[in-house]
Amino acid sequence: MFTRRALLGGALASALVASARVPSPGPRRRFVFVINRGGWDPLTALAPMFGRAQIVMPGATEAASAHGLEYVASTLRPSVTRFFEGHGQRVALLHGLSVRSVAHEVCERTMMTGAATGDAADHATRLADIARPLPHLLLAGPSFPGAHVARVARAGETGQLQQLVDGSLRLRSDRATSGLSTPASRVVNDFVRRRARAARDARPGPVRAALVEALGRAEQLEDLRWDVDYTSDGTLTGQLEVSLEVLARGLAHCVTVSPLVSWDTHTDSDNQQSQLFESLFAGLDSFATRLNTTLGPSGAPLSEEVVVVVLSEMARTPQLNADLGRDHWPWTSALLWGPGVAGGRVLGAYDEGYRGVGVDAAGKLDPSRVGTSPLELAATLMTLADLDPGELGVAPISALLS
Amino acid sequence: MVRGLAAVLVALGCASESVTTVPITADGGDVAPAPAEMSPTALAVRLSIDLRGVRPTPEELLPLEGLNTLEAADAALQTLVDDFLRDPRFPKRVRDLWAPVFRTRVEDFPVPSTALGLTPEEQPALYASIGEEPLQVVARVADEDLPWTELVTGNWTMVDDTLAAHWPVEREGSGGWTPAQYTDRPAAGLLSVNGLWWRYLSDGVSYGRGRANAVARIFLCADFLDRPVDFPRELDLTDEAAIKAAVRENTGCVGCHSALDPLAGYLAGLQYADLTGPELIAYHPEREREWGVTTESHPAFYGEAGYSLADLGRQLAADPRYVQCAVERSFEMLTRRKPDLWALTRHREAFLAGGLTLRSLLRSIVRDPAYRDATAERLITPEIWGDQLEAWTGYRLVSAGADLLGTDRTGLRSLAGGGDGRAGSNSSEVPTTTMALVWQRTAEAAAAYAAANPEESGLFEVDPSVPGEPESLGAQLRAWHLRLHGRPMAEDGVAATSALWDTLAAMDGPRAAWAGVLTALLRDPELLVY
Repeated sequence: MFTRRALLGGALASALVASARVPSPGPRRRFVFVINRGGWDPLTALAPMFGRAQIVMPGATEAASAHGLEYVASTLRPSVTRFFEGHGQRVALLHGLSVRSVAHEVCERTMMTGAATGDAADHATRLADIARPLPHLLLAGPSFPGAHVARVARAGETGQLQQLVDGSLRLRSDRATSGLSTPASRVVNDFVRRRARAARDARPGPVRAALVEALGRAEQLEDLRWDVDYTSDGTLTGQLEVSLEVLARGLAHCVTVSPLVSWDTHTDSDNQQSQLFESLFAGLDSFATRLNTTLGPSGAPLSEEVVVVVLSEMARTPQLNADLGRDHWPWTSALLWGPGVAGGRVLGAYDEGYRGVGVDAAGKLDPSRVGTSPLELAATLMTLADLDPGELGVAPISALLS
Repeated sequence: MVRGLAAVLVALGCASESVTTVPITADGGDVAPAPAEMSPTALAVRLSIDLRGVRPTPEELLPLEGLNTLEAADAALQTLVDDFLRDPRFPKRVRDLWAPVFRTRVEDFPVPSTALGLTPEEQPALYASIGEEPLQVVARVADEDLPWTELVTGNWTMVDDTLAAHWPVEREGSGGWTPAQYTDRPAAGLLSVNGLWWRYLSDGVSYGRGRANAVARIFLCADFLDRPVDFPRELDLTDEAAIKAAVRENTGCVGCHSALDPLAGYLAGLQYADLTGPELIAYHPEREREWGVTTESHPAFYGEAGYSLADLGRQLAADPRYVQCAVERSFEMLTRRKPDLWALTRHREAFLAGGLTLRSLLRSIVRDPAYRDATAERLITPEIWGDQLEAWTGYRLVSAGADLLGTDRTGLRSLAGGGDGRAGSNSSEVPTTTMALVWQRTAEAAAAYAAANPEESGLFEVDPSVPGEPESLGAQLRAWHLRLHGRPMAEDGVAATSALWDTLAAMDGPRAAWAGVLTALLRDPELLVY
């Protein structure tokens, strides 16, 4: 299938990247969140918990190390090894994150926002800069916008964002219409923008001021409607490709991707998790390389600007059930890399029973704490984004920061 | 191909990006400074949008003419409130307002349409029906002035043709949404309806606890997850017997589970064996006592024992928190802020005095100073925008039978600033880039539709296919402005909009000019805030 992205590939795409960027509103770091829904099993790739009586490690695995990171290697998962050997010096692992539940929806909310209830926004939304046309581009996965709905732009499963930007949305209607010609639409847009400015000046207020800004950014997106394609095939690789494009053009501050696969392996868990991790790390390895070679709006590689955070809402039990599956487990791991992240470092831990062991701000294990809170991860990410985490009431994990 | 080439040239900076500009007066035409106090007309607009989802008509605003203060206009405003609350669009508005509470407008129910003998193309409509079932019950309770307790004690649900074909119900009447009775389960209002429990599932280890928490959150504003939770280090989470013992004996667990588990016990008959249609559709009376081997907690409501879903409904309705929760939620929906103690007390008393009808509660809240705060302007929601566009032009953006402004995964709800259907977040209070694009594209489509179907829309007093006289152009613009804003158009506004028409007509002809001018009027910033 030909896509607009494919047609614009190669040298032409590079030229467009160089010529059609949105001015960067500031130097703040940007983020990509990779959400693996259903509950991954860190024992398969991330947490080498060999030799513990209460923990059954997946078969055909061995402990391995790269750049100071200990992980789980297997010949079945060459991409895991390739990723850690190729990029491990920039990667940090955080073990023992406590989601305090074994229910998917509760865990997802807790992992992504830091709180099980309330109006807390997910990390990507919290960090997103409203000055970007698409502050938090949600390509797939769950969304907890909290009080910041305005920051979230959902691409949609049927390419709604693309249709909205390029004007083809009307063709989806059961009562299709002809619409305005592009020149006529521009004239009307200009009229509406000036009307909005007049309204703002006559009756100052935050809503009217924001409307003027929004109309301006909408025009930016329209101007780029033939250059950027927000649709993907739903795979991790496809979604990361869209991420690269919007990050390179400065359109988005945060992007959330979530491959359309389930990690909820209550049967035949080790085999399924092995394949899922191989696929995940193949995508991450390629993405990390592309971040190094793709220039951002400032002209520097995106790898100097973009932090990647890889999460799953829970983990799997340390023992197999009767169906060779693994059930839900409330302590899990996270992986992150990028500017400001202390690479080659493993923080937090699991105890002999695979329960989380907390970590203090300095990175020292604190056995009195049953795991590390996702809220502390949230504070750390806010610090990485040059935001004050004070509102969260917890300290960032400074040891995760370089 | 030519279009594609042109696009590439534009991207490479080789083509002109100049835009024809229409003159516009310094004040933009017809934009008045903000008043210090909310005017009667502004309050009427707010009331009309909040209570029935559309702006008032010019005729409805006539009784407010010459009444310049809220005090002077009090009686007229009261009449308007009564009219709006009796409007046929009020029940739909109730559903939209309560959707973030119930969080059932989701698009990922566990059973695919094909498992129910429907096509994949019918799935969006099926899921929309399932998600609306609880909200339709709420809307009927509100619209028929039934006491709010009916929500958890009523012996009926609401179904449409889709649900009637699959749910075990006996339906009253046919066509559209009508009342019906489940035939296989205890009657306990919303506690008995599939539309709620398809949204809140209960997996093999939770034994209905998550569902019990949904009951507490929705009806009592008492979310167990607001309490701090931590798993004791000494607890072996792979040992089911140890977990059972902990929730009974471990101090850290007992605080929640002593109330949560007995609540879950009431829901045992709703427990399914697997995520299949037959299992999820049917009630399972044979499982009602399975709490004896799962949580081992006899059904009870915060210490008071019971035996069936109907008991739970009666207990909920008798809990003072039930009424208080409805007041809190309604206040927040209309004022977008939390009530203080006195407001809560005042409106609760009005609710009780009004027989616990939602109308009595809403009447009280819209008189609250917090509701009448002129500085607290609201942004229209996607639902209101869709309703308003349809009311003005006869056009609604529907694809394969689904309202695109009402869905997230395949539609535009969140792009239009709507709250996430699953997370239950409120809609945006700040305009965004994608909201601006949604307003633009939907206004363009609605205006083009109206111009192409002038007789159906009823908007046109002129023939949009032929050039008109300046007089008829001005008259048409004034008529539209009056219909959209409820007040006359200022002359400088007429001049600016006429100039826009002339420009567009010179470019693409009269029909496109009418469509463009109508698009511009529909996108007026003054129509987006209220």
